[in-house]
Amino acid sequence: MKDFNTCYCDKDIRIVVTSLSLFKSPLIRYILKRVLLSIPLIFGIIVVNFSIVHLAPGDPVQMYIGEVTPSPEYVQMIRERFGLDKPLYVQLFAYIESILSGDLGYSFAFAMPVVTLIFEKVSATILLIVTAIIFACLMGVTMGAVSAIRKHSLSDNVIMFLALAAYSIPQFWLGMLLILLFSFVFPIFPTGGITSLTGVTGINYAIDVLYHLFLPALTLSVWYLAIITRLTRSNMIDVLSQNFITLARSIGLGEKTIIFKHVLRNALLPLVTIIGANLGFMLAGATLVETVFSWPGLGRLMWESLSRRDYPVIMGLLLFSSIMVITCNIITDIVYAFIDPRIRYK
Amino acid sequence: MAVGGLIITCAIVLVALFAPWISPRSPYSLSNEILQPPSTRFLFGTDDLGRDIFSGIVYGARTSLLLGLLSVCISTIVGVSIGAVSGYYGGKIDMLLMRITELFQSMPLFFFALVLLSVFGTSIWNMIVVLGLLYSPIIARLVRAQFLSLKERDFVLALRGMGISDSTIVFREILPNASISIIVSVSLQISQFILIEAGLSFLGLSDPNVMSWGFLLNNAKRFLRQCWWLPFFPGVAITLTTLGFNLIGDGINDALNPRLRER
Repeated sequence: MKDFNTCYCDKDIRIVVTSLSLFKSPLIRYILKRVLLSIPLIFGIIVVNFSIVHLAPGDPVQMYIGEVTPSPEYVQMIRERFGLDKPLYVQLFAYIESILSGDLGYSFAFAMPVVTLIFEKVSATILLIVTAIIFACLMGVTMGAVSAIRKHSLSDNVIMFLALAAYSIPQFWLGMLLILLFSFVFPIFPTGGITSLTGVTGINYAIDVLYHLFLPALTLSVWYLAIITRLTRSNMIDVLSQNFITLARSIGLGEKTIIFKHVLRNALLPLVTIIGANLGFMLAGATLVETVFSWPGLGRLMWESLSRRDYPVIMGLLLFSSIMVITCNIITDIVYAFIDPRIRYK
Repeated sequence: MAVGGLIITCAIVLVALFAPWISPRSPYSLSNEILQPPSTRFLFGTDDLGRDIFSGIVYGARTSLLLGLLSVCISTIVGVSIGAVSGYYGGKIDMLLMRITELFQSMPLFFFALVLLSVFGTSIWNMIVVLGLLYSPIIARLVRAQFLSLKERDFVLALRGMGISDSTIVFREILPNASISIIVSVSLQISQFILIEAGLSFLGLSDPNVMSWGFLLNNAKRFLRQCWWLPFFPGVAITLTTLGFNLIGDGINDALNPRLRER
């Protein structure tokens, strides 16, 4: 029968030894390296934000308040808090301190702290973007694959031309056209918002949201669809011409098996990088689409704050969206390292 | 396909150049005929202040093309300089410049442009400079990659062995080889800039003194239900112009890039 103290010590050491051995795994080391490298990036973005606040014409106090005239006591409090009459490096520290403590400012237009405002709206934007990405990937990979298999045929040329056309259409114009067609001419879909004004709950609420989601997500996905189609096609053409595919055919594997089990897996790998790297552009598209469809997300928040010159919200959104982009880049790199083991050893 | 793109783009450039002769009246002149559908007098209809949409599109072509060209000039000059220095010399300069470009790639550039324009004002020159500077890191990365691969080639080593100065090597030997990729990306960037400018104007950040397609679309938002001609024609113009430049870029890419893999 072991002594109680010895039991406790053994378990302790076992935990320590297990967690230390995790560091031997190249995947974990890669993840840590990636995360640590991003910290100076975030710091750089905060410094850039700070420079914008101070390079702006006019009194920097306006950048912390927005274009409203609150009480003089509030203005004085902001001046003291951020040390606006002290040298620049003191102000920088005060700025960083306030951000790290979670305070991004206060919006008078919405009468709530900026952080609360952002977290209220972020789920709507994420819903829109994720739906658009899923749709664009499914359709894009299918069309790209069809195009690659029937290379140089009529369907290939048609698909490629459609992809180029889709890449050239301004997203907000497409949104307006879709509203004209499908909400006014053929009244199928609602013209905007995320729900109708009826107060339904439960499953009906979900269906209502989906009903409102369809047109905006479709609009947002078109540009992405074009990119993914072209990329899938060129990747698949590359893979199809490689030696191991010829080998698989000579063994006698059916064409379908070859395509689904071997070609697609290899061809889709670069797609992960592209999806992650393009998140910044997705946010741009989301802003425009949300404005057209009155979708209550971060993009529309940005547009409303721009028209009101509500600077705390604008700067807060810039910081938040930059952190979102950096996080997505890290996640993309990690997923890529997970799928392709060669990356971990670099 | 590239030829088709060239035709479209040339047509639009001609329209932009000869705008004062093509358009029947000034795009800013107000009239009493508010929100009229297309007719023989107003080819594309009028907006809520009686302005002729057709003239607006013709003059807007000038703005978009000018903006696209100037922004691309800025971003190419800045981007090629940074990429060339970074790729050729390597070492600490390379690391520093790459960290800076990584910073730009980690932020949503559109949002950043929105913030800069709302803070510093929305004149057309601001827009040109902001767009040019913000999107130059992309070209810098491209040029750097080209330089890194070209730098190790035999002819460069031979030239260095002969004692030819660095700047001569860069300008006379390496850049011409990299120029195909640069030209392709220039063409694609012009189309992107036109789309981005339209987006920025649509969100309200356009120069109020300048007629642009995005401005027309911004106006069209309020009257979407009743007046289909207000968004339709400017959007077609933007799409055609972008398509033209994209076709050119794609065509050059297909024709001139070494394609060893496609059989």
